[in-house]
Amino acid sequence: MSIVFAITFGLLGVAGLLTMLRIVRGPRTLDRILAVDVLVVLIVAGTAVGMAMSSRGIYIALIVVVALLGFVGTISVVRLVERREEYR
Amino acid sequence: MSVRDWISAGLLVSGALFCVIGAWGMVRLPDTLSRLQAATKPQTLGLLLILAGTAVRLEPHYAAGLALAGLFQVITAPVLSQLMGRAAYRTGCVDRSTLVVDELSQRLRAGRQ
Amino acid sequence: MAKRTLPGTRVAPSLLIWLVLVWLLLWGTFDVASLVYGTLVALVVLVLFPLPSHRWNIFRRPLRLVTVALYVVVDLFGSALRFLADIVRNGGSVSAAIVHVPVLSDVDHVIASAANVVSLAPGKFVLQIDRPGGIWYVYVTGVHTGPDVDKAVDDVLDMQRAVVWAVAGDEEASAAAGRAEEAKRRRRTGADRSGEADHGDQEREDR
Repeated sequence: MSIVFAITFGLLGVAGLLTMLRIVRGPRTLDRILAVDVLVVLIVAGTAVGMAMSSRGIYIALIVVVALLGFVGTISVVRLVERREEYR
Repeated sequence: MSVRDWISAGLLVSGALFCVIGAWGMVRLPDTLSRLQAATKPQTLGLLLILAGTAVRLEPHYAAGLALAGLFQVITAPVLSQLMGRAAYRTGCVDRSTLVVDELSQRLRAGRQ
Repeated sequence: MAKRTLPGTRVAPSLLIWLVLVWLLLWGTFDVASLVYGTLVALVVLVLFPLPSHRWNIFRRPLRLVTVALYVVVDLFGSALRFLADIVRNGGSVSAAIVHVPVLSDVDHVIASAANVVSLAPGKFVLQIDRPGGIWYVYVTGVHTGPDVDKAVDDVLDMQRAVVWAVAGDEEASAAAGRAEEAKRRRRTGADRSGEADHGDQEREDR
């Protein structure tokens, strides 16, 4: 089973690196926001895998809260960007 | 490995694969709208699979919390993609060469007359 | 102006139950203490953030809801694989379209849930909702030719019809089915496109 966790964490790590590449490259602000949002989802996924590894559900509240905060944060930044770029 | 382990392993690995596919598409695709597709959708699917894989390995009463996290993801992902897609369209983050038809711009032009 | 109930004068019991349930799920413990605190938190939330008094019950037909949920899950996997295959086949580029699709319902919450369901599957999402005109503008990937565009519109219409069938009343569902067929036929016979050509003519005349 440990090899399964190694593979899963490896894949999630690769996904995280690719996402960071998009954060660095941009080119627009929206692309970066999108990439950060994806990174939050990857972190949530990683935490879930960590829980599966230890077989203890200690981070469940953390997962829910991080997912919701990521959503709220992304929404507010998107609205901000939309307004700023529209009236430029 | 028990049957439970096998199920959990399959769910976890396939979920992680969907996450990688989404990230790969996000790097590879040409414009914000298509990247949005690649980013939010396979990502949601991947997270749901991973949560399911985790739920299989934990004690049953934790599954409720994981289901809650999955439910929130399913509810929020479309809202996010709609808001972001609209912002991308309005701020001109669309690569017109990828579009076969754009009936929204036709309508906007007709409305402006 | 309609009479507005003061905030906190009416707390819907169903909403209260939902919020307490979410609280219990969040903590993962089902004992008296979390029940009491959950009820307190839910009451505070409902008093501070009152919702519009008109509410609806989407669980009137649990069986239909489950059917549609299964349909959505199957569609989720199917379109994820289709989307992926399309990207790979085109070497990382994408071919997309923005199409207009008529809205099949007049009720806000039905439109919103249908839009969310359509946007959940990979490869398409509702970009813009023209509420007074009753039109969605949907962004669809994996379309290359005219027939592909028509098929994408059909898919969105079918999905919408399924959602209306699950959450709305029977007469509304059959009305939606009628509207969907009508929209498909108009699209096939090119009535919509000639409509756009009219717009084009007008543009030229105006100039």
